[in-house]
Amino acid sequence: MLILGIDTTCDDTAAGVVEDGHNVHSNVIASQHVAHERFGGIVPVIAAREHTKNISYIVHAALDEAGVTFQDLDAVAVSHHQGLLLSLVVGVSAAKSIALACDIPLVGIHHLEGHIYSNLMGRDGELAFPFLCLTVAGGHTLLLKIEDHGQYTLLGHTRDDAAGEVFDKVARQLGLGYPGGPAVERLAAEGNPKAYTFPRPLINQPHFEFSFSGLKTAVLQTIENEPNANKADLCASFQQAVIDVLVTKTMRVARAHELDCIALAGGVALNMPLRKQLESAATKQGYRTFAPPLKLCMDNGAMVAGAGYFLYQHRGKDALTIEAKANAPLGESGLRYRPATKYR
Amino acid sequence: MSILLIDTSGAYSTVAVAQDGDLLGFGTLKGRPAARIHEQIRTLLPPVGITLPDVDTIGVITGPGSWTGLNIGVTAAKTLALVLKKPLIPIATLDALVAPHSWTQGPVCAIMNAGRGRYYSASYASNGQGQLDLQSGHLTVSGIEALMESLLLEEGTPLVVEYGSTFGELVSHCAGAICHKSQVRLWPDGIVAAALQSTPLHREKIMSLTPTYLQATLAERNANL
Amino acid sequence: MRLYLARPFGCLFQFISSSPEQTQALGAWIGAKLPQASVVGLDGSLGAGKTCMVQGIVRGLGSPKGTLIVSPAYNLVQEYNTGTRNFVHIDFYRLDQLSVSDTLLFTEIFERPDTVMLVEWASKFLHSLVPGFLSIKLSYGPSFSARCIQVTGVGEASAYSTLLASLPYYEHPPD
Repeated sequence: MLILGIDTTCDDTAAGVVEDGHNVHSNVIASQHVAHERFGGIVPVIAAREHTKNISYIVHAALDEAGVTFQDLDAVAVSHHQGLLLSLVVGVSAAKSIALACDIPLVGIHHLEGHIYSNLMGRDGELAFPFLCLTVAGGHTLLLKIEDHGQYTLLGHTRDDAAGEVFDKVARQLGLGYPGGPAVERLAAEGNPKAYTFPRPLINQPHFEFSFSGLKTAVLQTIENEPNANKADLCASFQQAVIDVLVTKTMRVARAHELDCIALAGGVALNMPLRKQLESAATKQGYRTFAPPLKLCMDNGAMVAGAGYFLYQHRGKDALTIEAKANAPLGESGLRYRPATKYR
Repeated sequence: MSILLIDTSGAYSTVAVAQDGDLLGFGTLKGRPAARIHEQIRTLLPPVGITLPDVDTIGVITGPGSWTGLNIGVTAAKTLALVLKKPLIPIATLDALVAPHSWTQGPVCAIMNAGRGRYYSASYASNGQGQLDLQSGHLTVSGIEALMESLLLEEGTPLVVEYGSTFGELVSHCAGAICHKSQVRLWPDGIVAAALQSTPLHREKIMSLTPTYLQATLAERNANL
Repeated sequence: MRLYLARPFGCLFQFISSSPEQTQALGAWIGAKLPQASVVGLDGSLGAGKTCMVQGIVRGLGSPKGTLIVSPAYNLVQEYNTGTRNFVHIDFYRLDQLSVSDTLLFTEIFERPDTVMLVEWASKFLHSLVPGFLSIKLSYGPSFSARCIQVTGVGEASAYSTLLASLPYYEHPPD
């Protein structure tokens, strides 16, 4: 079953073609794609949040790269929940037009389902339900128990800033550019993670919530107070503080809920020290860890096509009337990863 | 020649089908409307006896108007055109607003509200047989006086304005005003008439099509001060 | 809670908050006084307590305790409904410039009726998007956890005058 996945959740326009939820034929992201040669010398302005301008180029590039046409598609999947509304509506509108014109099923997924399912893609049966998923990205820091297809329980979340966002802010303050995660990681590799003692907020608390705002303030005040500080040491010490909190809390929640498979998802899952340290902590416990291939970590279309495949098998197609929503419940359990809603 | 038309520029969304310039059918929906246009298209076509692949051309209102709505409509139309390999006709909102009122020879102006005391306007010359030529472009101006000045309105010039209480003063200024007394901004016959006068785009241009944002934003105005 | 107020000139109010809890309490107090439709801009360096102030304002708007307000730095816009009030939390942090479509996007959001707009990093673009707004500036204060908070109006007075008039004015209390 050949599925086209479209993601226009926030800044980037992305599309990918995936076969049977496992075999990624193409995965095109506007900000990383050089499309001008493909389109007869016309240089599409590839800019953030210019989804209406980008969408046709990106969808065609995804089909071309996969060597297929619209007529070969069996379904079209789109992230229609969670993100920036004006961005989401463009992807949803394009996906509906394709479904209507090709007479194929439309599958709407929650953006976070894309990240979760990026762990199941290409791993037939290896990762079984239930498992724990640590989703760390620019806008999210979540600990989710994945019970079954479409069924999630929220075990922990951030009270303020997301982990990825703190990476970006520290990078920006140090003049390392955007996105900050990879830049901090590169510099941290040359630094001493014990040079500075930054706080590990809530690390000793028995609950599974995160808070990164205090750590952010501590790092930024150090940058301000010590203009000649070694940037590599700062990055290494900061990165280690984030990893310590993420790994400690994840292991604690895994033990408490007896989940011996731990999956990592989201843009921060690109961070190699995080992957390695989570893996070694898990191995000590006899647990197993999973992380998606690097290309499926950032916001992308292939993960949407992958999630679309599994969720289409599970809950069928959606009507053409589905609407884009900036805040939306996740899954059938009605779990609301929705700010302004009480969890407890 | 059959044409499928989409308008998501206002508080209502309209889809219409026309054959050789005659309207075959249309549907209009209110309230968070743009999200439902695909469903509207799906339900509109069978009763008029046309299937989607039979449609020869697709037309879409490209603006000005609701920014979210226009992005939905334009994306829907360009994707349909590219998948079905049909030409796409971009239609300006003011052209469609004025089109049903173009059957007397002479000048005619169209005005719509842009919010915060600003107006979109355009003046046309009509040949009396439905042919309209744009005279002074599509403009955004602030305030009624600037509007009257920019249009060089003479006594008796027909003026087509969209429905809305803000136009009461304007209409009283101008003897020949036709107030479009409907909350649906554009009539389907106007969209059809405007589509027939616009030039279809082909593949490369369809790919890069975006809504028109004829709106001097505060940011632009501040930059000009 | 003890607030030290001074009114140095015009209609500028200055508060010294000694803890995040105090900042939140001041926010709640401002939030309770906000008209149905109002725009509040927040400025201050990273860690100065903008999100903390927003959490307070939201409590003052009538949302239940325990309501989770997370940073919208990534998604740019986060919409909420507390049951009685609508509010939108916007963060310009990540944006260095507004493209034309960004401007139109935000313009459309600011045209929404009966909504309270809370905008972080307001000084970047807010003046070009709305005619006037209530400005809250936070800066690091005399001690590690203390913050200096300035409340003032920017642009067209109609946008904030009712609110500023309702702020109390009293002398520096004797210790």
